[in-house]
Formats: sequence, C-alpha cells, structure tokens
Amino acid sequence: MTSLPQLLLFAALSAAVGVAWGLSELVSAFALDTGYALRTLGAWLLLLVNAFAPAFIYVLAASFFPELYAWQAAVAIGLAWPVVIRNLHFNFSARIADAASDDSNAADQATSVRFERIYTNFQSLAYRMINAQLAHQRAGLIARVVTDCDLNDLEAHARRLCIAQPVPMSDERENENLSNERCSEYIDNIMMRESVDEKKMYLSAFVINYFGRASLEEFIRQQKHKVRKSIPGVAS
Amino acid sequence: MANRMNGVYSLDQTERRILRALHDKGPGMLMEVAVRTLDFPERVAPVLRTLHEQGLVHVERIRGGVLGNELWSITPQGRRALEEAAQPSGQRPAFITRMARDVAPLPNSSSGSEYQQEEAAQPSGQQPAGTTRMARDVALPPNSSSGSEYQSGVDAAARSVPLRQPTGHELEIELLIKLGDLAAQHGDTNEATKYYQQALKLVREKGRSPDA
Repeated sequence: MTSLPQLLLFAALSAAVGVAWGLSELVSAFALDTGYALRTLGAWLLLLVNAFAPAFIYVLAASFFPELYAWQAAVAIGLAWPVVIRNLHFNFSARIADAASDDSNAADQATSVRFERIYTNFQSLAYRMINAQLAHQRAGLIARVVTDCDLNDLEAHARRLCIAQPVPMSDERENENLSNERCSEYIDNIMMRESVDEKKMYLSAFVINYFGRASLEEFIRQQKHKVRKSIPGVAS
Repeated sequence: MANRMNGVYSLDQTERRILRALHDKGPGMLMEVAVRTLDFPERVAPVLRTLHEQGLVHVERIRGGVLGNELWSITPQGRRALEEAAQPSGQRPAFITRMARDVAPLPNSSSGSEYQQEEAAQPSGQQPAGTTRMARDVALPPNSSSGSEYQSGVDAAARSVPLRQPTGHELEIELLIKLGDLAAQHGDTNEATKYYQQALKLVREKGRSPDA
C-alpha cells in the first residue's frame, strides 16, 4: 500500500507534466509575446487547470487501480490528460450505445460533447484574458511614451530600427528593399500628422508591432537616463 | 469588398493585409491593426467593419483601454479566407474557380445563389433557367463568352485560370449537359431537366469534395 505523501508526490509529477503541456500550448499560441503572456492572469489560470486536472485524474485513477501507484503512470496521465478527456467522451458514448435506443444515444452524445467543450471554452476564455491584458500593457507603454519621451528621439529611434532590422511586409516578403522604403515612407506620413501626441502614438505602436515591446521599453529607459543626466545635481 | 463565391473567398489587398496582420501578430487594437498594415485608423476602420460583418474578424470590448476599447482578432473563417486568398490562382483548382465565377452574383443581384433561387421558384417539369445557364457555362470553356451575358461581374483572377484537361468527373457533367441539350432540342423538357439536375448534383458534389 502506498502512503499519502507518495500519492501526492506522484500527483505532483502528473501536475508538473500537465503544466509543461499547458506551457507548450501557450508558447505556440503566443509565440511573439511568450514572456509577457506568461505574466498574465489568464496564463496562470490555464496553467493551474493544466496542473490540477491531471493530478485529480491521477488520484482518481490510482484510487481505483492500485497498480497505478508508480511514477511512470503519473507521467503517462500527465501527458495524456487532454486525450483522456476526449477518450472519456468516446467510452461513455460507446457504453451507452450498446444498451440504449437511437434517441437516447443522441442525447448522451450531446452531453459528452459539452464535456469536451468545457475545456475548449475555458482555454479560449484564458486566451481572451491574455490578449486583453497584453493589449492593455501595450497601450500603457504607448501612453508612457506620449507623456515621457521626446518626439524627435522617438522618430530617430524608429528610423534606426528600420535600417538596422529590415521588416518583411506581409504582402511583399519577396522584396525587402521595397518594404524598407515603405517603412521610411510610413514614418514620413506619421510625421505629417498634426498632433505631436498622435505622432508619438503611431511611432510607438509602429515600433512595438514591428520590432517588439523590448525595443520600445529600451527606448523609454534611454529617455529616462537622458532626462536624469540633464537634471543638474542628479547622478547618472 | 470580400466576396464568397461557392466557398471561395476573394479579398482585396487591404483586406488581405489586415487579415494577414491579425493572423501573424495576433489580436490588436484599431490603431495597432492600422500600423501593422502601414496605414491609419480612419482608412482601416471601415474595412474592419466590413470584414466583421462577414464574420472574418471578431471584435471584443475591453475595459479601460487607453487607446480605445476594441480588440480585433481573426476568426477561423478569416483564417480560411486568408489561406484561400494566399493560393495563387493557378494553384486553385480550375474547375472550382470557374464554378465560383459562374455563380458570381449579377451586379444588381442581392444573392450569390442565383441558381438555387431560380431552381426553387420553378415548378417541377419546367426547365429552370438557372440550371440551363449553369449547365451551359460548365460545358463552355473558361474563355468562352457566348451566351454569358451575366458574366460582367466576374472575378478577373478567375478568368486568368489556365486551361487544363477536364477530369473524368467534369467530363461526366459535360456529357450529362449535352444529353440534356439533346433532349431539350427534341422538346422533351422533363428528360432534359433530369439530365441537368444530375449534372447539377455532380457539380455540387464536386464543389463539396475536399480535393476539389
């Protein structure tokens, strides 16, 4: 007979594998913003579900089948838990199909489909939460640039990035020179807008969307440093 | 404006860019979508609304957004439309492209399914005009203009599809149409309708099959 601490250890192993599975889902869904996405509430919720569900399934399975008190079984359940959900659907339907009429079979199938949908719905809710939070973070960053940064410096930063890092446009991947020309042309168009704040907003959004948030964060840091240096008596 | 003709989407360049931007870089606010396409919100907003009406993009209200409260994302339908639009017209099955062109709505038509409407409106035994027209056009080579007075609104890309050898399925359809034509010439409209309906059934099956 296995002790409770050992059972919990195996359950934790299942949970760890489930978390790894959830992480891989997040990495593939937010390939460009993985680091930022992982720091959101939606991501944590998804990872928690991915941890608790396999742990719960493992404890449940091990309580029915004592031979599952092994680390291999814990790992296997952690790896297979999303599949387990789908299998439960099939097993459930198949068992009912033997005993019931066509009509009740249809009703049971509808019930099991809903079970699978719970996870899908939860996953899309988590993704929506992550996307909304990422959008808030980007908007906050742009707002900081508008209030704290110098327009000319920002324009120079955007132009430098364009030169240093060619941007393949969606439709013109085959012609990068053209896309660089278009980048520069776009910055010219931004600079023709009337309001200074508007120019800053577009330039920041341009930098974030083409060169990543880190580029804009680095620019904000540089600006802060510049401001600190320009204040007499403030050590750099 | 994005059109869907017999399951094939046709997107203009701005629509394609917007969908591509949402697909590649994920959901974004209006200003971000505009910047991603190297454009400005005042020009992108109406296109996004149109795409939204067609179910190709989804908009979600977010609370407390400093730069607006709308978050735009691409829908699975939008992804499909983008994939279809990304295929060069030469790679698109010619038969399907021709079908898409043939069922293109008339410039003043409100529905893209003219054939189905006419077919439904005709009492049984009478030859539906839409069926005859479709049957005739399926039998016609893509560049033929005879008898196709409604082709003024067709997709130009579809016209450029190179000619190729018809498959067995297409030949069968053509033969059925020819048999229908013969029956119609002999005044047997019931028999002609049967042939045209068989051809129509095959055309629809061909349109539904994943390899089409």
